[in-house]
Amino acid sequence: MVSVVLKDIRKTYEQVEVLKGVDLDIREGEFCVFVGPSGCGKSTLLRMIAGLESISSGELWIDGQLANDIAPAKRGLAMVFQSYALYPHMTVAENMGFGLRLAGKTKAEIAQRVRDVATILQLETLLDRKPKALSGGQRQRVAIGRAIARDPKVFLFDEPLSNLDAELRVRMRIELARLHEQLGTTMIYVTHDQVEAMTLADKIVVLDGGIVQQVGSPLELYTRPANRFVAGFIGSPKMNFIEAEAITQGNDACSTILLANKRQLKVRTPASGSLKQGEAVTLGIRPEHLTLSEHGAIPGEIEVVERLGSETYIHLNIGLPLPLVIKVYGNPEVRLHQAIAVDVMEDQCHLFDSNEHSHSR
Amino acid sequence: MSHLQQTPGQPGISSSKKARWTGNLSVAQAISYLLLAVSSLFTVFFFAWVVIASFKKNRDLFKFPWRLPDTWSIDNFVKVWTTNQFGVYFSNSIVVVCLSVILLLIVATPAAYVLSRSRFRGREGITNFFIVGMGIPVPLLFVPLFVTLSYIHLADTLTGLIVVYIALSIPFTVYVLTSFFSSLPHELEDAAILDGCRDWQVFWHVMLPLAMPGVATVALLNFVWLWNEYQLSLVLINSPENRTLSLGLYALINSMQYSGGDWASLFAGVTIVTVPTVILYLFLSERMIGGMTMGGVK
Repeated sequence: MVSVVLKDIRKTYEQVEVLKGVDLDIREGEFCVFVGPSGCGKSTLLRMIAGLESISSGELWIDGQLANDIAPAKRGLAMVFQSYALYPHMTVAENMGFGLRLAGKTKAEIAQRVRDVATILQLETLLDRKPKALSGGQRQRVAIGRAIARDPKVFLFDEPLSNLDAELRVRMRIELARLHEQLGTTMIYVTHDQVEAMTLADKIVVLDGGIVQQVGSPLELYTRPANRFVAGFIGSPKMNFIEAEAITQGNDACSTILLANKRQLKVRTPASGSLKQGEAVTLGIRPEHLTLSEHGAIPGEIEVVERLGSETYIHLNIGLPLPLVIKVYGNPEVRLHQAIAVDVMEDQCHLFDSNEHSHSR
Repeated sequence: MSHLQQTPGQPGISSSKKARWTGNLSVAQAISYLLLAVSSLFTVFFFAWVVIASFKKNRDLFKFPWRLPDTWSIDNFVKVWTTNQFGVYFSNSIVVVCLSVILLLIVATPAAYVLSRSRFRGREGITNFFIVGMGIPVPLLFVPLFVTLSYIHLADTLTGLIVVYIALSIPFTVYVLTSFFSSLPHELEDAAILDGCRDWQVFWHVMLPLAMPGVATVALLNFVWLWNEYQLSLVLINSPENRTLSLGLYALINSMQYSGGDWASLFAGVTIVTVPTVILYLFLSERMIGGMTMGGVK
């Protein structure tokens, strides 16, 4: 098991800096997920770790060794690509054994290793097929098998599930989690899907605009987001944001804020004590932390009802540009244009300052 | 009762199926098919007629021009092959064209790969240099090429002709192969690098096999062009023993002035010239069509 340490990693393309000083410590055996919107630099960061992109400045340490100038094949890494990147002219067995062949292994060693890996991933019957004769899920398993066959110190995954349908994505996610459990190898995974990040990761790195927004466990990012971006990115449906103004100062256990629709709301005073009277803040509240109530704190009119079977999303017009989204378990008896109100769980409110940083930190 | 009625030994199509087939063919489609059929028949017919005529004696050719030969005779082929030296010309053409195409691919394929995949200063300039090379009219090069080859003692030699053929074919070949290599996914290169491939190994093990449709395309196109090439060989080759088939055919036509119009032998000569390219096309056409459409389908 191997650790990966990044120290002030930067990447510049011509005059444009796409990664602006990434510091990260990925421990041995950890499943670390880089997550963020398209263009945030997560794939570039992964490729720099792999050696497929040069590092403009900073240090990359793999297994205690400075790896900046080490050739990709010598870093002890294996990568699974979004498009699988299987060699179309080779069979499954040849794809999986290609790296071993280049490493100078004997045919017998290659054959044995390929058989072993095929057994782990249930690919035994597919070894003589070419990639075009495989389904998407099979191709993905072959891509993973090719990575495993090389017995790497670190696995790199670049959005490996994004080309699969929803059902297959869920199944492969579980397989990946089992694989990590089985192999115990350090894994670095890139995705734009926060559900994948939350379900797979030991540690999540949220990136935006080439800057690390927050690093932490899934629950940490969920319950204590460092800023508005992380709060809005993690969680589905997305967190509700309402502009507000602090009315009372943060000395008591609860503070009062005035929402943009002129409704007052009591929220738990941030532990940092940094909330000031009259300060412009943004209230963040997750849909699952709002409850329907006849005489709740925030009234509104139902605009949209999305019934998913086990849960229902209600979009409530509260007189602001964006509706409030409420997540209710089951199938409540509500109808369009119905006037209802919601209550807010005071201890689940997040307050963000004018710089979008969380008041809780 | 089954919709498909089959009489023993005969494939059967139910009348409803037949009606559906003709019903589905629109008038526009029918006209298109008709025009294509006529065009194909027109092309095939004359080629087939020349081949058939080459198996006839001259008197039968003029007496019964549209009939199949009563006896299929290869005398014309034997005469052309031996008396008119087509055997020598054929082997010259085979050597010149095959070597030219093989060496051309050896030179142009790696060049196209580097130009399509690498990023270095001057890359676009070099690529444009090749493209501009395609625009130079070959007749402008007759005199300078002759002078240059004479200077290096390669005039009137097959080696000199091969060198010229390769040089003049490089621009087009590099241009076509560059676009083929550009259409191959970059992730395959990344995967190969991570698997431990060096640059040349990426090319040899991964990219070149995938570019084979493109390579087959340029090989066939160059083969056909060089096989039928006449002007350059006329300028650069003087000795009869170094003639290629195109020059040999020209010589045969000239000799007909003195031999009383041996048309059947001429058709035999044309058949000898044409058949290899047809056979090669039959073998490589599928790859070529695959190469033409590659990149259009992900």
